[in-house]
Amino acid sequence: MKTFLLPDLGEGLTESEVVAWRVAEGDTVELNQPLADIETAKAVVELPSPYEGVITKLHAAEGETVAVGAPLIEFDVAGSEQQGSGADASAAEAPSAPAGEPEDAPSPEAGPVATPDETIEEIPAAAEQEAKPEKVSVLVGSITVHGGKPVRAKRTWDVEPFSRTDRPAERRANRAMPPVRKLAKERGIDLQSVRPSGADGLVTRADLESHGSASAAPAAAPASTREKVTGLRKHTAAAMTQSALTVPHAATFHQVDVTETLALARSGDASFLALACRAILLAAKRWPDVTASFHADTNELERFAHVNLGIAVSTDRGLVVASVDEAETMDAVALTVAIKDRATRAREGSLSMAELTSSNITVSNVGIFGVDGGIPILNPGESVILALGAVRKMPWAHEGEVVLRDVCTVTVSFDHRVLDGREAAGFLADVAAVLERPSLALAR
Amino acid sequence: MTTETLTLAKAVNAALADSLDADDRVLLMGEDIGKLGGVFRVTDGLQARFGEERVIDAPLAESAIIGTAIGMGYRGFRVVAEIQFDGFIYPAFDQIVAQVAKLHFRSKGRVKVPLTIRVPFGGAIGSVEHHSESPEAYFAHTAGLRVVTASTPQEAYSTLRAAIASDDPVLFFEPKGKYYTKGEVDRSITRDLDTANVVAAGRDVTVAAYGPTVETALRAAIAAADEGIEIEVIDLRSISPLDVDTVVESVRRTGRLVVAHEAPGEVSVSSELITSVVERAFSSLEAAPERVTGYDTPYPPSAIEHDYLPSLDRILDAVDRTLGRRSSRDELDTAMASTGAAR
Amino acid sequence: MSITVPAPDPALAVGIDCPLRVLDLDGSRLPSELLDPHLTDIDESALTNLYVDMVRVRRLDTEAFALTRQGHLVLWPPLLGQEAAQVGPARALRQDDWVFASYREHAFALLKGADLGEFAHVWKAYAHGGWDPHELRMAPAQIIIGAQSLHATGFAMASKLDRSDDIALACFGDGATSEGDVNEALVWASAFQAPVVFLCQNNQYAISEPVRVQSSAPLALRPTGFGIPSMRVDGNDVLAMHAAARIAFERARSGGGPTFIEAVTYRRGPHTTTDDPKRYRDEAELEEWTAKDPIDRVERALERMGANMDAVRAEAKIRADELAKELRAAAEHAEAPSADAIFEHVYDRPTKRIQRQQAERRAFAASIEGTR
Repeated sequence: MKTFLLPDLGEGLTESEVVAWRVAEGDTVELNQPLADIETAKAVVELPSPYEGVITKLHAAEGETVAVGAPLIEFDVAGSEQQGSGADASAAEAPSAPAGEPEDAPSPEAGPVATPDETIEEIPAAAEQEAKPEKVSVLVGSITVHGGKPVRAKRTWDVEPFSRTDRPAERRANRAMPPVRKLAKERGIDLQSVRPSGADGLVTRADLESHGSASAAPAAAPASTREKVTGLRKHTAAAMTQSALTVPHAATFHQVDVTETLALARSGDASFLALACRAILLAAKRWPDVTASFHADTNELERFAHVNLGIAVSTDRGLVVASVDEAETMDAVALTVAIKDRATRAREGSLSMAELTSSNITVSNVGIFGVDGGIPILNPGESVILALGAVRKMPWAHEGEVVLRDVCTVTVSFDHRVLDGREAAGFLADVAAVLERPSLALAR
Repeated sequence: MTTETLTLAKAVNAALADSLDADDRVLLMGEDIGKLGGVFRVTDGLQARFGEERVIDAPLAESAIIGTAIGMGYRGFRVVAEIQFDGFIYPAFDQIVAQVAKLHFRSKGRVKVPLTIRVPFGGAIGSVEHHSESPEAYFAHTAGLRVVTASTPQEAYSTLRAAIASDDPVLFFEPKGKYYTKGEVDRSITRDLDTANVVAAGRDVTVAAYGPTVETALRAAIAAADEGIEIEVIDLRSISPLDVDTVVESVRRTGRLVVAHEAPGEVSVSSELITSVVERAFSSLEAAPERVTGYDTPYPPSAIEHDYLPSLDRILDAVDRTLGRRSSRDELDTAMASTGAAR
Repeated sequence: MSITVPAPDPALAVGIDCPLRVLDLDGSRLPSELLDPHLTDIDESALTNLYVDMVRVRRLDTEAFALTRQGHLVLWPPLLGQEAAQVGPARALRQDDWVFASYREHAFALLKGADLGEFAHVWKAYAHGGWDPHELRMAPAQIIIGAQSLHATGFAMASKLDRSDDIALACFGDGATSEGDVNEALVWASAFQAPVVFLCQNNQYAISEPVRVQSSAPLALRPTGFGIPSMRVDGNDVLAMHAAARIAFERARSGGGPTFIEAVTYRRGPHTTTDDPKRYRDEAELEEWTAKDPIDRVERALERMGANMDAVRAEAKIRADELAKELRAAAEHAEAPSADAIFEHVYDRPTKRIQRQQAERRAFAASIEGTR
């Protein structure tokens, strides 16, 4: 026994009228034999028999309307069991029915969505909730007309409730590009409190930077401010700390009459500093350990073939020591050029790594700051640092009389593990001697 | 002001009838549009009413339909040509792109091409090959052509009338999957060929679509309302020129954009729209824009077309991504970020 | 001023005024100087085979039509009435000859051995292609009108380059003769003298357009303008079609170049299962052509030959029923493709973009409860 259900002829109807029967109960029919004329939207079509067998029951009379999917004809088919067959009504519908849209949807309230155009029905009244999609046949397929309230398919995870975090109106005032927004968030800066420099309320990265230092309202000046130390200054701080803490410093100083050297500088192409460096280089020849380096970890003293003269340069970012390598091969004019070059590039920040690390003795011209001297801290890895103080006119014993002479204090700070007092003093005395009588350089 | 309830197909029919009526230089040309009334019955009754010289059954040659229409234009006829299905437009591609698009420019404005080319497009009709294409991007890429679509019967009526009246050549893409959708049509309403339409207002996400996907976007908006999410739906209407202003204005308010269409995403309308919005409103975007489109493959056998076409759920999945909520792509995105694999 | 415009070369065309026919409606043989030499081996047995072929083809067609009405197939373009126009030439082909056909050449697919299971997939919209083209020597059915005529011509050109005697058969309808592709194919076939045969089944309609919309002159005259010999044949006469095809295939095979055959027949069914021909043609015309039924004619011919028609009909019915049952089973039990089929075989090897999208789609499907 097989029950044939009225198939979906794809004509967009949920029911069809049986216009005429071509068979009667008790008739034996062949496969595809026309059974009935069924009325559709466009025409009357023949319904071919899906089985071969005997008609045992017709469920509708001529002129009667049958719902699609309702039993239409009962067949007695040889060798079959009781089954229903809707002639794949669902299969016919499946290709067109959109996924994830259940036929029966609960009645919702009208949502906040406005639909000014009547593109689809407004949220329909409860009675229309059950409306199934209709299918209309066309020449090459069928068109589905949607019915019922759209509902989202259930997801395989637990859905978090939606909460609107920031109101759109609040976004209107200040805007920022996504990277700047991220930066503001990282720094805990509220974008809306920043003064935007860009057009139309655009907050730039620079705005954030200056926001950090200017802070909020100008009301009361803060008792103190803090600023993170970064870059060069941070590095210098670390280096100085390490040097001061690990190296036994000792110092010796001497006031030197530099009148002749100064006159030499004024009349020639060599700078005063360069001439002083020449004095240092000459003295270093006699006291070579001034460029040695003590390695505490291996308990070794490292000696160098050349004098790499470190020049201390003061920059916006902090103190930089730039090396003039193999300075002992250079005359005063060459040194002048080299020192100027290092100073310029130190301020530009374009010194190479080698130039920043290869010095083995340093000279610091603190005199340009107007002081006599100080006790400089050794550049890490080095054994001697020499500070040149300001040149001042001072009353001096010169050729038996008291006259005003150009005098400068020279301080030598040294690693006491490498040099003892005698060596340091001897070195300083030799430097002083050349500074007092530059012509000695010819003789030495 | 009277409104009538019409299917989209009937609305097109009404626009054609009213245009034929209003201007006796308007004429229709296409395959099977006469006695049969068109394979979708869109031109039903028109030949009987206006005669064989104004509603012409064309021999089976798409290139010739367009080429001869150009020639008719020289004598002042405003031809409304029909290409029977989207997939059949390609023999006419040369005439459209090399001739129709360039004649005004080439003649320094002395020769106008007031041609309207009607093309049923899009899928979801359970059909066979070549009957479900979305070729609009090829034409949007060609200067000199206007490319417009309609999403509702009212839009179809008013936009088609504007297209026929326009002195520019217009490709009018009709969503065949919506031919039997009904809607209210007021024939006195006029529409232009340039602007997009905000069809639903919302605060959280802008979803821009055109043609058959507008209804999908609206259905997604209704479903999203159940979760408290407000989606602003924009019917782009004109694909070329794109009304970027309207979309940018919306995105400035919502901060989020999803673009949806049936056509494959690669080098498409969504590529163009998203780029334009990013260029103009980058700082308003809370999240990267998303697009929900056909995959970059040929249109599949229609038994699986619903896995291919943008659906309500796929659109909402993309909406979730813009809102920073969990979406189906999360694991994939994480995996891709760690391998640095290119898309 | 009148100018005499020379007609296309009539010498190249035969049957223009009276389509070639060797089997009259009552089953009697009509003599044909042109066709008879190519039918000398057609005895009662051979004619019976052709008869059974046509009965099987009709049964395939009508069963598919019914299956569509019953919801097992989504669409079917029927060939009812065109059985002889297709079976005649199909049985003149050699196995290595290739066929480039439209969506209505079901007879060629069947007789070339298409597997009905795979075939059914196309009309269930489960797949785009219904067979392995290299296995069947038949290109995938073409929906874009006329495109296949160029492919056939190219195949023929290649066969000639290979010094092979394989030929190509392009099948299309009356509407297709208006398409640029078909006319270009005629140009090329003629210019290269390609071993291609153009079979135009003029079934009088292109959807709703009667053939006079495409041409006021007989279609068989057109190819003569391209220098291609042409035959206008009664498409409902399986013997005439068979002989004409033999002539055309032989000409192509022996280096004689292309031939055009216009098979004058009638599309008794609708364009497809949901077309409504009542809108554009009348019953009288349909009845007129039903009276020229190609299968009836052969029955009468066999009767005249003294065949045992009861046995013949019974044999034909058994074979047809088998076929119908096979098709029905295939249609009812075909397995729907998985969504992954969207991404397969787009290129020789999938691109990263496609692989990524396939993964995205899977992830999306996995996120919906209850989806496979």
